[in-house]
Amino acid sequence: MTSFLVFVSVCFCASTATAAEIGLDPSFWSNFIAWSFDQQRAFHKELIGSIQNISNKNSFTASLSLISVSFLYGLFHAAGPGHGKAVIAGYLATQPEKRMRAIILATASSLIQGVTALIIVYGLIYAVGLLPRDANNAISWSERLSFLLVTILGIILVIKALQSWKKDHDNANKSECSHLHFEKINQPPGFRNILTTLGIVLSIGLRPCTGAVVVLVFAQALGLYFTGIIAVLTMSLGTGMAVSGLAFFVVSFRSWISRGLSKNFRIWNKTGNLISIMGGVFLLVLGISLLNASWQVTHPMF
Amino acid sequence: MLLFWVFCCFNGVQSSLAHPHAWIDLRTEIRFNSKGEAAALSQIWLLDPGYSSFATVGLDKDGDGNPDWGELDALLQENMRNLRKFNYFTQVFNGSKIVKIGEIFEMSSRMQGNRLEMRFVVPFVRPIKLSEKTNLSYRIFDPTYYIEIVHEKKNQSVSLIRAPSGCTSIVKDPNPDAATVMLAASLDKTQNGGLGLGKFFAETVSVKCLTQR
Repeated sequence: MTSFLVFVSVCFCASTATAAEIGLDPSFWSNFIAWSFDQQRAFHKELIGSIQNISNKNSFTASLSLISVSFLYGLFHAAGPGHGKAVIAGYLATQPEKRMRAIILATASSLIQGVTALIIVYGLIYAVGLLPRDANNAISWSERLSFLLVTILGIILVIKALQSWKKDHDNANKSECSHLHFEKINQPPGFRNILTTLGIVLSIGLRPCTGAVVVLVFAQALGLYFTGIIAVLTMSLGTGMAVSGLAFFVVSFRSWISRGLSKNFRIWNKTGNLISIMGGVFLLVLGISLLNASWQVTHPMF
Repeated sequence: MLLFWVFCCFNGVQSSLAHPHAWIDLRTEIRFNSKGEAAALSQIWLLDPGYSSFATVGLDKDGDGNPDWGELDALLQENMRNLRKFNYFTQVFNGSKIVKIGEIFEMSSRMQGNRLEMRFVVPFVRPIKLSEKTNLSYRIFDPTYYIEIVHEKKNQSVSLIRAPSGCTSIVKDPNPDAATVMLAASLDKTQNGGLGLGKFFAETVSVKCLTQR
């Protein structure tokens, strides 16, 4: 039952769209999604408009409006469903992480997303001299790399959970006690932890938003080098804040459930491992289906 | 339980595609032939400044500050070749039946200020005699919803060329029934490779003619 609950929460967070199917009030969620699409559209138009404004007027107010519109665009871009949120939510709902680290993960991956867009535009288009349309090829490979990382991350989580399960099992047989258990609820030590963090941040961050790339190219074409960078970074900040909110919510929800169950420590320990495995499988399947889709769908005009 | 999981994932895939990243201001014309039948749909796409510069950077080889004519033409050819597989984002209906469209003609492109403009005409394989009973409707949309396509000035963006008297056109706003949108996001994945969301945000133009007496 517990695993089921946590599992439902994974679904719920992984994609707001899913909420409708698992029986939460569908009209609320779909209205919310439709509304956030509308906002995104409106902000996209304003974003392009405000960059143009800066090139015409180059005034302080124009710059200020660009920054605020970029931020809001990022915020609403993240409000809809997406692959980064599925990864973050799937990971956090099933792995023991602290709130602070969850927020750092969310913010870092959004910022890396912006930086990836910057590297592709400034590196490939202006340094190497690719046309933006050709650079799109590079974007789809960067995207596939990110999906591959999602898959690998899933495999790592499954292996980690299985190992910890086996260790539990061995310990139970030897009936050694308490201090070993303590070690388990703490974070896994150093190196591996850094690897997982890097995995999550890159598996999200290597997929730059096409919108960010378009905005950068546009700013560059108008000769506004610095403006483009500011726009993309504030956009990432907006996205980071929205995703952090989600991350915070997921971790709180998870710890609320685990606190409820901590009275029976051994049961939690076992289901804890089971949930970790499920989280791993979730990311594995997500990664594979994203990879699969990335070859099927190519846009005729991008 | 496993089913739930599969559902989640497919949804994630589907939805990660769904953001409008560019927009097109559209103008359309329904062309009638000498028999007074609707024969072709002419389209003018005015792409937004952001996408336009994304698509045309590096096409100014002679350095006069504007993309070269030849390069623009190559871009148009490439776009049209790619769009062919997507039926030029165009869906035409005779009542509720889909109207077959032929090879496009009169393709051209140019810059309007900093915006790229593309024009082309989509002929109907069989011209349609419109009457009170047979009406024509069409939707032009990007099924992936990457690009938002709208008639810029609503009804003023549609014109009827050589139409018999008594013919009128009207642009209907998309009315995405929220629940349908959600359903679309989950169903179309399996039906046509995840390209489903756009049609729920598409305008519908319908053309009607009163029968001459």
